[in-house]
Amino acid sequence: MSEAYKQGHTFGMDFGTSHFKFGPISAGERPDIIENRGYFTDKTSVMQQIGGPVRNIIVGKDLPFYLESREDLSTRLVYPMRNGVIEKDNDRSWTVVEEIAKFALESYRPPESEFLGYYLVASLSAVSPRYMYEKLFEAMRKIDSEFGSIAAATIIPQPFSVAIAHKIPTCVVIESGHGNSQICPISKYPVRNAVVALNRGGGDGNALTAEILKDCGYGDLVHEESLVRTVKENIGLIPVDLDASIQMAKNDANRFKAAYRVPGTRINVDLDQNSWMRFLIGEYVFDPDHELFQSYFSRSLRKPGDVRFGDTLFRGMLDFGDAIIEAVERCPVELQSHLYKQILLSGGNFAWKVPEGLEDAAVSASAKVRSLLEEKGISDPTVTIAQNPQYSVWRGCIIYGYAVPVDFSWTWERFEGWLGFR
Amino acid sequence: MVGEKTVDESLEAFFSSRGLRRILEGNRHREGKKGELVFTDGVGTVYLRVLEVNGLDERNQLLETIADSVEQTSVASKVYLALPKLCATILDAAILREKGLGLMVYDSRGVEEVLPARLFDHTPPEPKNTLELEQLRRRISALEQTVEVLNSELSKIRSTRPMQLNTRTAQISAADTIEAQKPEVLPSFLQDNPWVDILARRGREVEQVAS
Repeated sequence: MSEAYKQGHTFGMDFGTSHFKFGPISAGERPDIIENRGYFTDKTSVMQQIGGPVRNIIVGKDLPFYLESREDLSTRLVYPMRNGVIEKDNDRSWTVVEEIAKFALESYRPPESEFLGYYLVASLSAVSPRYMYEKLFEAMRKIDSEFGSIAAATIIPQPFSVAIAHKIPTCVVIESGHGNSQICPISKYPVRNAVVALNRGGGDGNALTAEILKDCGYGDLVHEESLVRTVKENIGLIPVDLDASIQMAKNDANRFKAAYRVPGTRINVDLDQNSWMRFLIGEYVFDPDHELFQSYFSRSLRKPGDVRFGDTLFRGMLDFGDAIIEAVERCPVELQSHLYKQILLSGGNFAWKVPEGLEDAAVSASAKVRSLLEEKGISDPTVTIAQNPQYSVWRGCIIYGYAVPVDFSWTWERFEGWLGFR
Repeated sequence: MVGEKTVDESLEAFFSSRGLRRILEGNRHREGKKGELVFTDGVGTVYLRVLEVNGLDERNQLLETIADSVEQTSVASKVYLALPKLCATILDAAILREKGLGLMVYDSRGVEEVLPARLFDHTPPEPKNTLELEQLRRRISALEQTVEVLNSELSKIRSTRPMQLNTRTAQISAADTIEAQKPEVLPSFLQDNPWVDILARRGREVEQVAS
């Protein structure tokens, strides 16, 4: 296949923890987005029998129209990448992944008769073990044998995609999603041996917010995670210094008042005299080791523990500063100073507000990471937040597919190159 | 009260006097069940279901007969129930009227139409204005041709665009480079991206080092 054909038929897929972003190079600046999930239909239900034969699994934007009872959702609605990693024998999750990939490719099947398949670039978490690559390639092979829609495929780590999309060849990318965070140094290649993974993400911030809501008399709201997340995003703040910021908030409760009315409802959350707790939410995401969190751990908050998936150890309590330093110090010494000069924060877990008038007590995610590094002796690090974090992984996939030569074959030594199925 | 044959004959005489003739067999809509009579005026059909007093002994017999008769409104132009006059008094005619069924009653003196049946028109609607229809056909055809042309243009754009992108990395003159890097063609994330050159050397680094 020619280079020109490949460049015209590059297709990107970003398997995010919550959303799946996909589209060909011709899609322009933005990919298509659906939720990264699948719904297994109930073949025995009366509604299915009346409605005629249906698919076993539903993915895509029409999925909500197929949902049945709320009780069934926990077993039938599957989010395969919720934790970034899928167990090898989790057949239902792999079925969803295959179905979503099929849906994406068929959504963009070109009308021309000379279509010979896309050059597909998929992106997975940096901590995905080898078997995830093998399982995903196998799913692609099946799709190609059925539809002829994949000329060749490759898989790259999400932080690598982010670095490519942001035009930075040497950097540290911190990708923090719902379930976990990955710290990945990059110097033209992802430095795989230096990747540090944290068993902590946006979901943990939600869990602490739920505990705070319970303490403040809003225990009835904590069963809906999306509502808790919205509250977290609207009242949570990252403190400049936790003890000092809390003291300021306790001294002037009106200025730091944490109140939020959920739009379109009668729900009004007001932490009132406990408004200082809004600083706990932001601090917990970046450094959960403060003594103030011990009382939550001793009650019902799950303490983030160390867990192992495949060959990767996910650390629970390591703060972001230590995690970055550990990742950088696994790289060659002469590279380390360059890496500290380009630290890129990506993912929804870094989108924190600094309300006007509270700049003396609250900071952005980039300022917090900078401060954590400076506390540990790293001088003048440069930390930036990725622009358009929702699209950057997909964009990186498109650039990778466009640029990598068509004759560069896949190698398991470097985890790079094109794998053909024909 | 008259016997079955007499009732049939009386009903046949009644409908004959209105220009209808009885269909016995060989027609699409012919008599099948006991007590069924079918008439036609050459255009539509009239379906008639005759019930006797002893036919009503069985529980739900009347209800089943009415349900059967309602079903016939999907094929027959008119549908009638014929009941002994004595039994007709227990029936609420409003229900029959709502469903469009007609009611005939009979006794020893003859038959009588007490509730006319509604006319169900099953003939396919004729196009009212064939000229207008023809114009619509032409307009749809023109639209289809336009969609085909647009599809073809879209395919050309899709296949041309990557070629334009490709010119960016080609070794061509500076003037041509500027021309090829039109912002309306290149997505922003591909413009001036050092990774394009880095990645384009994948698989060739070893050869470069060796040389």
